[in-house]
Amino acid sequence: MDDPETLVAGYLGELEDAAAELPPEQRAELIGDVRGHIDLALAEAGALDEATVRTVLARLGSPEEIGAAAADSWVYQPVGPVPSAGPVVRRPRRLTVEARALLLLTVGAVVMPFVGPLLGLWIAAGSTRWTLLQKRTAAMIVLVVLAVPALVLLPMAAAGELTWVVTSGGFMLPFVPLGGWIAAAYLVASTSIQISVQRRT
Amino acid sequence: MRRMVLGTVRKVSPELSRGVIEHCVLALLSNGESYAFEIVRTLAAQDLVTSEGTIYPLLARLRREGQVTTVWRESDAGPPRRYYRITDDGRRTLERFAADWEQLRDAVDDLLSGINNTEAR
Repeated sequence: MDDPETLVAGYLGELEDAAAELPPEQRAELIGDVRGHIDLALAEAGALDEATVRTVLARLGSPEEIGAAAADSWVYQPVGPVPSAGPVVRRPRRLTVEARALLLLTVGAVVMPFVGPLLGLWIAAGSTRWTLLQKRTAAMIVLVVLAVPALVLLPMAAAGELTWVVTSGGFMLPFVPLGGWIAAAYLVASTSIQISVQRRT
Repeated sequence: MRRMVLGTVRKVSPELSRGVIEHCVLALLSNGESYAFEIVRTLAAQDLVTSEGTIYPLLARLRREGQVTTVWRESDAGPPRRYYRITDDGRRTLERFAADWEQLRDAVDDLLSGINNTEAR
């Protein structure tokens, strides 16, 4: 018996081979689309046993069939670049949206205090991997933790205790990047929990 | 007149449905935006699509051709979804297809009814 996760990965691997002639971006998009379809179909079926997964994959059609349809539709294209037979120029792999968001939430929170994590949240909002709930929770974490130093330091500064702010306020410094770190940890953990829950059911 | 009965419901042959499906997609989207999973399930319910996965290259092409545009929308359950919306170009294509289809359908119907009449004799 095959593990459902292995079945899906095997199917997507075959699709990747079948779509080998497509330009890399189109191929990545196709595989992302089909992966999303499988997720939705499995969620709709409400089960993750081998038979359900096999039914979902059978309804999709064979990877060769989809690959052929993709190659077909690429030929139809009236304008734009045509895949050339020349040497393939491999472009450096760019960081995914999620990776950039996590970098800004962690490293960015130290290098650019306050601004880094907020930029990270902004980029995370564009992720197609994380759900709305995850993005909102991450934003809440960052804002709440950033509010702690602001709430302590601002009233003291307003009260004219500038000496205290400069000398003793330093203990607040760790709080500044902390929110970004917790939010990043939350995003990573909640995503991997989702995957393992899906696996087990 | 004798009726030709095919018996079981059969999927439309791929040769015949090629070139038609994309216009069915445009027709569906002319009623409002939708996401791929919904589009493919609607078409499959009418036996218009046999392999659901082949809809994705088709949607990608419609987008490259500017017949549809897409926008990502957050979903309450799960990751965001890409919604497809028909463009003015797409509507024009659909109108042309509707006219062609009518003409073709009438011509084919005429010929097919000729066959039935001959058989009935």
